[in-house]
Amino acid sequence: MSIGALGPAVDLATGAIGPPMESPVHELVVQLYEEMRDPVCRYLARLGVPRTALDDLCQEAFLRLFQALRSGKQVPNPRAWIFTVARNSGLNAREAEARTQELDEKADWPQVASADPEAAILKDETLARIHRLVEGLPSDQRHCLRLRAEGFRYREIAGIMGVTVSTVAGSIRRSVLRIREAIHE
Amino acid sequence: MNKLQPLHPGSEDLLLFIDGELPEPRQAAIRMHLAGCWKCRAEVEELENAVSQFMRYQTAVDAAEGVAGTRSSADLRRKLERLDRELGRPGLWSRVRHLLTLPGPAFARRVAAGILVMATAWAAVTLVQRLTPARRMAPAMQPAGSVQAIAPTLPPPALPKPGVPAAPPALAPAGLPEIAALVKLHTLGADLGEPVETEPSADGAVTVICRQVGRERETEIRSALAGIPGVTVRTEPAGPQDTGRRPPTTLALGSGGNPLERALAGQLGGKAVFDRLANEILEQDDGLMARVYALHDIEKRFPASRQAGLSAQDRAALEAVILDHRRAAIENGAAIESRVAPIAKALGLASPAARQPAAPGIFEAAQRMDRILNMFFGGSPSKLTGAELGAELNAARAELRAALEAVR
Repeated sequence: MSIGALGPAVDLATGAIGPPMESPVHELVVQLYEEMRDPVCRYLARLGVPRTALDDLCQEAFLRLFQALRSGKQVPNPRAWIFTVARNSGLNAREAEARTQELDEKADWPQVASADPEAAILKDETLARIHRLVEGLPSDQRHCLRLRAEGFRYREIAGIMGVTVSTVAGSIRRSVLRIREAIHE
Repeated sequence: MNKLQPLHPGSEDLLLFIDGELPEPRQAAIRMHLAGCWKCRAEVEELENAVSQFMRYQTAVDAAEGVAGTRSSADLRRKLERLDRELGRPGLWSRVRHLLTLPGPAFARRVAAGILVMATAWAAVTLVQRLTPARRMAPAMQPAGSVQAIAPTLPPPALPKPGVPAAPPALAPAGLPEIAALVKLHTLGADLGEPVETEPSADGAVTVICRQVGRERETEIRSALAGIPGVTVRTEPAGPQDTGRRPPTTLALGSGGNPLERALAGQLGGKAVFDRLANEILEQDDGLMARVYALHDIEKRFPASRQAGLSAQDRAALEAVILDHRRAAIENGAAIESRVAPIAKALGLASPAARQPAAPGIFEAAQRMDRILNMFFGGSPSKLTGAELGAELNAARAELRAALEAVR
């Protein structure tokens, strides 16, 4: 999908969704929000953003997309753009949080769950092995895997994380090969 | 060190293959290899299984954690409307699109939108001319995409959006359905690697086949081709992806990577600089490859013998498309060179201008550059040493430069 000035993804042929609005840019942003709200919130949670701040940061990313499009900025890949903005906001929020309370080393991995996720996962031997392995991966490798699981290509992941494509390829390669080994342990 | 293609691709290559991340020639080579190799097919299944198990794990974690956005889209709508009011008048683009979506006669809406765009453009041009009279002619005097611009000392040129014409090409109308369809698809940028194929028939008609291009894109293509006599559009599921692209023969791919990356990052002023350059170079490389494959495809469909039999009108239309692809390829090549040059300098490589290789075809030269760039910046494994990588990069630069010069 490519949007921006006259990007083809703005589907005007199907008509507006919901009440009439000022411009199709509204509709596009709302449509993206409906599609991406949960993945963005999950990603923010894994960055270590407190649950109470997830919705605010998630919406902030979409509002910033709206502002960018409204000002005529080209956004060739809105999904990656949203995740990039969300990541930056999430890391800033985490830093702010760290000023008030010291983060432990694993603050960027699941800080969530009303139920105990491990309890459900550990019942399955294969999932338990993968869980232990993933928990032991360096933070960047985990995030590469997560973003790949969200459907991003290596180049998009590199853009979101601010690293090279070769770094992403190496991270994913190492992780998948280790997962393969863990399955056969 | 064995520089020949290894008998079996390694796990690294196979993972890049299943993720669709290898350069297309390598992707095609592995696809062909897998068709006849049980060992590697089993290896691919193992890797696919690891990915599946990770996805099962991730789904289970997501479900157990129950993290989800709790605010409705209506809430976001309200915020967007408030933001809109705070920001004031909608931008030009919004107003144009709004005009186009208003109820009423389509012609009147388009005329109104056109007037708004032209009036704004006229006002902008007038303002710029008044403010900067001395620079008025300068940009127009620059030959767009000149290969002469390929010089390490030049600042990086503005990046054309990869895969999309930087400027609308002046395309001539065509009479032959196949060329008329080609021109329309080119106007849409649908001849740049999208799964859209053209199937001519003996009676001169042509069928455009869309393979999973997405609903919106297909609507766009159908709409553009509607009304052209002799052109029909058909939808088909994804095919075998046999692009006819030749597998790589020059370099060996195996395990490894770019052994120079760390040293380069240090010399260029840090990893952030290297990362930025790498991403920009690969973007431009994508654009270049899309253009050379499009040119290659035209060459195959319209060899010189066939072109000779075309009407003057059809030849002109075809030529306009070819020139537009060449112009964009030259721009991509210049953009790559302007970014690679500082890296070559940091490596202490001699200027490629000192070498005068025989001018290769643009297709072969771009493929060679694509392979080395992907080894350098794209994570494609390589068995070459740092020195060999550097030498190959320089040779590819010289070859690409000569090839682009030849089609300028």
